[in-house]
Amino acid sequence: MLFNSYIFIFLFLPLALIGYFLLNRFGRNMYAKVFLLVMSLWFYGYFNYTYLAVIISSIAVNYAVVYLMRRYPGRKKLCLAAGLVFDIGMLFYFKYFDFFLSNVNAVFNLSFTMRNIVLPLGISFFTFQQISYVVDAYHGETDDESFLDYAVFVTFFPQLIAGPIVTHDELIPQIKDESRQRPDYGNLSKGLMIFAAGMFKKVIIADTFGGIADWGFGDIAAMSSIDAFLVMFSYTMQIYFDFSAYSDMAIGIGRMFNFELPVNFNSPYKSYSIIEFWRRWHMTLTRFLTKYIYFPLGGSRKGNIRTYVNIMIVFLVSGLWHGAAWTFVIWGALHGAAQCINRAFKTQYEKLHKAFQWVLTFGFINVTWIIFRASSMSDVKLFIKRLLRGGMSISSELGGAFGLKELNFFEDVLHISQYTDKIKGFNMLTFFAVTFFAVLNCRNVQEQEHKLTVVNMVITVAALVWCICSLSGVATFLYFNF
Amino acid sequence: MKSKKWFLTTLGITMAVLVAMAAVMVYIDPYFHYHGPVEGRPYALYGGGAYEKYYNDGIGKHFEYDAMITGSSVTENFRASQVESLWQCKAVKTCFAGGTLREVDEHVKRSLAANDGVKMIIRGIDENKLLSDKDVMPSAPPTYLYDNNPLNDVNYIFNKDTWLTPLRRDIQFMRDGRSSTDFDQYSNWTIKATFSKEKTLAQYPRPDRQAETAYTQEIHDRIQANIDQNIVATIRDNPDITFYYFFTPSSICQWDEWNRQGVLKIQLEAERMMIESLLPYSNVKIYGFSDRFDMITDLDNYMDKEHFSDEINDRIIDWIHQDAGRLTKDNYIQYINAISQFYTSYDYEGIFNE
Repeated sequence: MLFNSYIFIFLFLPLALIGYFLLNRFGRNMYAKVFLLVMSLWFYGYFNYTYLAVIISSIAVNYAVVYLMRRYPGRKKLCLAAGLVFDIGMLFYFKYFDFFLSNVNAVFNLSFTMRNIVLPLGISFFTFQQISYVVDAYHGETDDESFLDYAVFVTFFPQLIAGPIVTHDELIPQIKDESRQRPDYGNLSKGLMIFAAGMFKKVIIADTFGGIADWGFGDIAAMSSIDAFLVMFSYTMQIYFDFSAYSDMAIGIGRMFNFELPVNFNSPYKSYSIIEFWRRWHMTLTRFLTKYIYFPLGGSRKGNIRTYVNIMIVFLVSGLWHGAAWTFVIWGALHGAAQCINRAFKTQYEKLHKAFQWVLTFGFINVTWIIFRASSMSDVKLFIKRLLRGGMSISSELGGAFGLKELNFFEDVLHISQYTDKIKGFNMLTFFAVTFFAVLNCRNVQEQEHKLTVVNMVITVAALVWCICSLSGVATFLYFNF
Repeated sequence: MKSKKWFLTTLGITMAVLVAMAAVMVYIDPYFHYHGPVEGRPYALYGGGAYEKYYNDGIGKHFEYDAMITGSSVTENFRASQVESLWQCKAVKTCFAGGTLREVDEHVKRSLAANDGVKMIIRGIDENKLLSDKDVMPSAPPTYLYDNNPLNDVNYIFNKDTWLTPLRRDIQFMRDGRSSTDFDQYSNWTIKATFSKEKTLAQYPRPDRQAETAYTQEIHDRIQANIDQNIVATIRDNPDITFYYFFTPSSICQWDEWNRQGVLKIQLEAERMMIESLLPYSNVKIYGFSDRFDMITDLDNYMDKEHFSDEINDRIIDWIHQDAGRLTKDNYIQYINAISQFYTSYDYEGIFNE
């Protein structure tokens, strides 16, 4: 189930909140947790109930591994190894097996049949989350949790399929905390405000950029240079707004349940270097990779060469984590290399003008997102060629891919369409400019105060209504004759 | 403001706005999902192929009519008024640009199930669609409008596109006191089109010559299944309704394309199969105009390989009314032989050399 769907907004979320708080109100905390677990499993299995077997077995095995660690302290290492083999094995099978087979076929000229395994939703997230739990249990950093608390922690639906990657020490104490088991109107209000803002980012902003990116990446050969530039920028904006919006919605929903989820994005496009970018982008993933891969490899304690090797390993893993394709590996490698260079020439880099640092960083991020989005490296090459081919006219098809038609309505209402219609692509370019301004200047979710004012109420209602009316539309018409 | 008051007020206002929107949508009902036209209240049938599949179901279910004109984009330029004057009936036109046989047939079935008064259906059958799989549907049909599940109506009621285009257009019509869109205008694209040989050839990317595709049992079965499911079944199940079905006459460029793709003979076989499948039913009249070679080879009648001018649409209705071009047990073999002879021996190079 998606947060930005009618069933979630009109049925699932109200039911989950009312049921959870009502059961707690009658002193049935255990039932409330069971209810939350069942709702989370419904949320997870909504599109494909067969996924449930994957997540339930994953939870059961990881909990069993930790249980055995405590029961047989002398065999902790064996239990850890078993847990890691299971988790990484699951991830490998469901996410990477076909990729692995295709590479074996290519290298050894074989013809193994692809399994076409359906990737269970969010498997990368809940697997990493549980790896952290098992490793922390091995180091004695976990409490003796009940199976119910553990299952609620892993499946808690706001963070289940797209993060943030929440750790046990962040969420389980909150699940157990009795003071959080009653509805808090302050949290409900702020949660609703954050959820509405997140949904606006996703439905109105990210999906609008997504229409342009889909058009461009769907027919790379047809683009002029300016088209390619706008498409590249659109994808850069789409991925940020999409991903951070989902995290914001998760944080907002978590807040409604009185749970604080960690911040995942901190204005990453404000970064002046790639090192800074990774401190601001998908922060809970960076935290995981740092704690569970970079540090165990020795971090920066074993000399310069090992440090660079470790950074490259972390970023190659990060690339693969994002997707099973060489484009993701190359994307990760380029970011790893940029980190190393950034680190090696830190002193010289910091002497550069701030504006130059920002342009260099943002330009690098934009170009590497092309690799992330493209379906193959030959598409990447073609895209770069299109960027450099010349041609400064914006295709009418690109204008058609800009889907925010309500801007025309607003202009009609304000009687300014007679002026705006005279400028080709006015709405699209204004949208680009406003969102770009917001990305560089607006405060983040965690920086905002979320005051319970009338103005914020009006904004929240408007955002909710606008988004709800944008969840459904007239299907794109691809009949090319007209 | 106190948090409880803020939360409940925000939620209350949001719900009030949504309920008010739902009331307006159900009252105006631009797609006629809940009710037909209301006396004294004009409606706009917003043009553009994308919207037809949203309007057509409501028109088919809730309008009062006894004749329906349907088919793909080449039927969009028919004039319901011509049908009404010739047959003395009340006609609606519900076409599906790019519509597959299944999409159009399911629409006919739903309309007939909801409307007892229908006496005749005029439907164009695109020859090239006969070869498709029987279950092919266009992407993302608005099934929430087609079913009777009130829960999924949220997709209609809270739909930005519906609010900003059809519903807004309805309100403008009411405000300006305009007359409702009629079924001559609805979905008619003549005004946007240019019909000429030059345009047609410019729109026709001639394919490379390919080896002839063998006519296998699998192809035969696929065509027959398509005809049985998406054409014959509705005719068989509605013996009291007269079905006027015709092959939409594509230009010589279309025949050239089939010829170069090596499927010309399969195409002719598909036409024969369809005729033979329909002839046993007395409530269907089937027409073919591919033997009007002057019309087919005159590319000034077309805007691309398959879309013909509104003048041809008018002629087709006249021909059907006069029973000209009707295929019967006595003449269909002669018809198939004539078009086979013509299109298999035609000098296609001449199209481009003149």
